[in-house]
Amino acid sequence: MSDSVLAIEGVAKSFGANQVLANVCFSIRKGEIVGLLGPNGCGKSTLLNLISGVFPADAGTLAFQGENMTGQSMDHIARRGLVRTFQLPSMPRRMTVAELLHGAAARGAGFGSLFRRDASEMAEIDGLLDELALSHVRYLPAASLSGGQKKLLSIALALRASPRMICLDEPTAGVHPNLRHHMVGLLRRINASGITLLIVEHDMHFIRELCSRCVVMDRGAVIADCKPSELTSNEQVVEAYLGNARQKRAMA
Amino acid sequence: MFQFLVDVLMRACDLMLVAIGMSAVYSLMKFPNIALVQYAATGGILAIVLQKIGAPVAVAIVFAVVLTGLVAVILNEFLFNRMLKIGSSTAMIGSLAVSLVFSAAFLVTVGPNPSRFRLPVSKPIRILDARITEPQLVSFAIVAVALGVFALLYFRTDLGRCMRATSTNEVLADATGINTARMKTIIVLISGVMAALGGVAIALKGEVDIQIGMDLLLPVFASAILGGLGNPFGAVAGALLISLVETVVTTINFGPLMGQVVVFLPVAYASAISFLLLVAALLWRPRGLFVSEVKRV
Repeated sequence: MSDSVLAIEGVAKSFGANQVLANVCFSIRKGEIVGLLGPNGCGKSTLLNLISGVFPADAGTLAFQGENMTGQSMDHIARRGLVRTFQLPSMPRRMTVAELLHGAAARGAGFGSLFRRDASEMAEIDGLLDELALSHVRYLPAASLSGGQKKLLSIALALRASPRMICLDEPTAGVHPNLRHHMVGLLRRINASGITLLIVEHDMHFIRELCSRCVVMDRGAVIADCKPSELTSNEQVVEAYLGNARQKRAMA
Repeated sequence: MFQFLVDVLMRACDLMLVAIGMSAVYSLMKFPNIALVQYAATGGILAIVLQKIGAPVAVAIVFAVVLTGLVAVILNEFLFNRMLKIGSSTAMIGSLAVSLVFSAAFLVTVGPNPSRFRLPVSKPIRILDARITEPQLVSFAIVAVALGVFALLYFRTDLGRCMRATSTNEVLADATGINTARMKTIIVLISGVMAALGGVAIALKGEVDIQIGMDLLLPVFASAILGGLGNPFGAVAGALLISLVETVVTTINFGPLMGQVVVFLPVAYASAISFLLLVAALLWRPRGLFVSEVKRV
């Protein structure tokens, strides 16, 4: 697959005796919006942590745009354009939202913008804050935001890091339905600008609306890789999600 | 009265830069590096030695400060970074050990006798009844400029923003592509330079002996903790407070309280005061005087 952006091959990870991922293989093509689903404890978050370099994989390779990222540091991976958001990010107490957004794109490369700021950069940040309904809190300390707002800020930070691909960790959990609808539009626009998206999500409506493809995991392995519409007809998926309920019904 | 203010300011200048360095390093490295007080001593002593060898004062100071910054980076790279992998308490104890090694090294190389810069003797200037010497003014200027430059860097540059982002949530900073390892090296370099400048500022005002570093430890630590470890500009306020109390205690005439004409506390009591303040801070304001109310889960 020559147009694959992210190629995951034979990835495994254990925490002590607990094998969380075993031989996970799939790849994501450029421009796709892929949903990553699975019951709690199936290894979604661990996979996301491996992809973004929070910790290294025990086995297997992760390649981003043809470059082997296995064992690379998190900031290196992010600078190559593979960034992620956090589900419950803790934000700085002594930095405002706007400051944080300015810093995120700068990466400490230079002393630039000592006093004056680039007008286009300001406009970009304004637009981003508008889009994520964060304009009114831009001069507040980032730590004072609500959980949902922090999640939005996490997305904004990811966008500021000039990404080629973003991995979103449950972007809609705890977000108001209106804003969720808004977020679908935002993510579509982000995607239309050429950024590939991998979305870890429990909300099926959100996935159906947005994703062209779904990867479903259960107990550390990929059990399905299909269109969202095909999910309900997939035996294994239904088993993984509803297995218990079914058994109970059968026994009743 | 104005003399009193000058005394407070001068004492605060002694502590301020080292305390800022300690707080700044803590904010990124997550351990209080005790060796910083010895970096201050190194800066001061090295500058004096270089001047003795024949370098002009300004050159001696610049060289001493830069060299000390490099020493800070090297020690961090080879010692503290490795100790931090074991734990922050290990690194802190390690930095105490390094400080003792510094003391021994000073004893071997420069000996136990105090030394000072060779400066032209000038008459003190009188400003509003207070006597201020020229070296005191220079030393004050050095501290003020260092403080200003650091504030600009910390609050107004992208570098500063990235350092602050790294200090609060390293993983989040990593995730946006900030090179957090480089940020740490830079803050270590800055703290080494600041501490060395602090040492030079002390040396300019009088004699320096090899105990200067360890003498600084308690008041600097108290300043950094009062300001809230990890909040560099809180440490400025901490240093001012410590100096104020030290100066009050050593300049007040306790005579009338004790039915005598004149009773001044010996200067040695000044360090007891910073110790008391440190204990009080640890008991009642362990996160510093400026706890921001912004803490939300």
